[in-house]
Amino acid sequence: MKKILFLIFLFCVSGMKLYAQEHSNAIALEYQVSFPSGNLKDYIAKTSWRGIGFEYRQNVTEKLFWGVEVGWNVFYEKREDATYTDGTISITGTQFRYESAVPMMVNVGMDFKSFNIAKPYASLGIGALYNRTRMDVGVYTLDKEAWHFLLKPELGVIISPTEGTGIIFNVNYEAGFNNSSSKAINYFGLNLGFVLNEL
Amino acid sequence: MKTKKRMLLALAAGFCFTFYGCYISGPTYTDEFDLVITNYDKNATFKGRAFYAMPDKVAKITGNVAQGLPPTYLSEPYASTIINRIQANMLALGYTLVTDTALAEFVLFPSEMEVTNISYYYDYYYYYWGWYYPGGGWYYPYYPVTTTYTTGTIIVNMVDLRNPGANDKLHAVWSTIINGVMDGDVTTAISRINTTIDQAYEQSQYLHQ
Repeated sequence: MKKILFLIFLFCVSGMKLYAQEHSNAIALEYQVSFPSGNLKDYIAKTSWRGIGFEYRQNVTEKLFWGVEVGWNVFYEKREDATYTDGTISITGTQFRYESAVPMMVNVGMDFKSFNIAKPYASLGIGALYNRTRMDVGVYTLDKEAWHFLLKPELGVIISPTEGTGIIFNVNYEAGFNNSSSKAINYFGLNLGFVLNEL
Repeated sequence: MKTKKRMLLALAAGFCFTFYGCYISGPTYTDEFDLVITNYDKNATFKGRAFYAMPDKVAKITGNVAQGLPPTYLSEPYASTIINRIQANMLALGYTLVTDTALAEFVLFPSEMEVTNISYYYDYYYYYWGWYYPGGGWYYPYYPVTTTYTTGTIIVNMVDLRNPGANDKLHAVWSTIINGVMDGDVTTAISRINTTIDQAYEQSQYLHQ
């Protein structure tokens, strides 16, 4: 029993030392292009070219990492002279539709085998999505805010031509679940950005 | 380490400025504020009832009548524009204008109202006048920022003369509300009035004879 406990203790200490030695971190800043899907696409069908993401990640082992991420994506569409009918009421007017989504999450992921200067990875983000939906029609504005539970699977690659800096490219799917006050907010993301390693 | 942090801050600032520069715009022209709403009584019958009457003036809702004053009416050329366009659309739907209300199945009542909205902003905290330094000077409060705009609303009610409701009260079986921002150009206003009245009838094909 004492031998077993000693081995467990030795393993933990070794693991901690390994963590300290191989502990590495990185910060990424990304430009994001987003493609709405599901309910969001029914509301705004156009692609969002206004997106930004900031991510910090830290390696736990050589392959595994965890991190935090926050982003901001804005969707917009103008619908001219659209007529909407509900029962006996019909409304026609130019509608300006806006959707602002702010995902915030903790990521866990795994780095795959590197190919020369490229290091592919996969990760899953878990967190919350804040969204604000707004529609301007006539001189009136309809405004609504909601929070959603968020899951974000992601596949990407970090290309590091020089030590300490790199380019990150990834694709992901932001899945904001529906709740009692708001429908689900889902969209695909295509991101390109810069990475700074070993800060 | 410091260089990397500075690079990151510079990148973040660049992103933020770029993002701000891509701010989404909203309405640019006044006709983009035009709104047309229609509603009808689903129990009403329109087919086979083609005669209607309407006044030759457009009442202006100002609160005068409620105060015991005589009613006011919309001026030209707007009044005749509204009346002529309504009559043209009714003719296209198969209706016939009559002057004798005994023959008419429906009466159309066009009316108009204007609302001026005023908003102001005055940051009294930052522009508070006072002494900042002993023996120093003072300045007047900054002027408040005000914005104002006027909206015009055309309301047309189609009243059924032959089927009164409870207590023998006549009720509207079709209504349209047309709302938009008013600007000073008469030609543009007339064009927008015609377009929106046409739209009101376009989305009311159940009125067709």
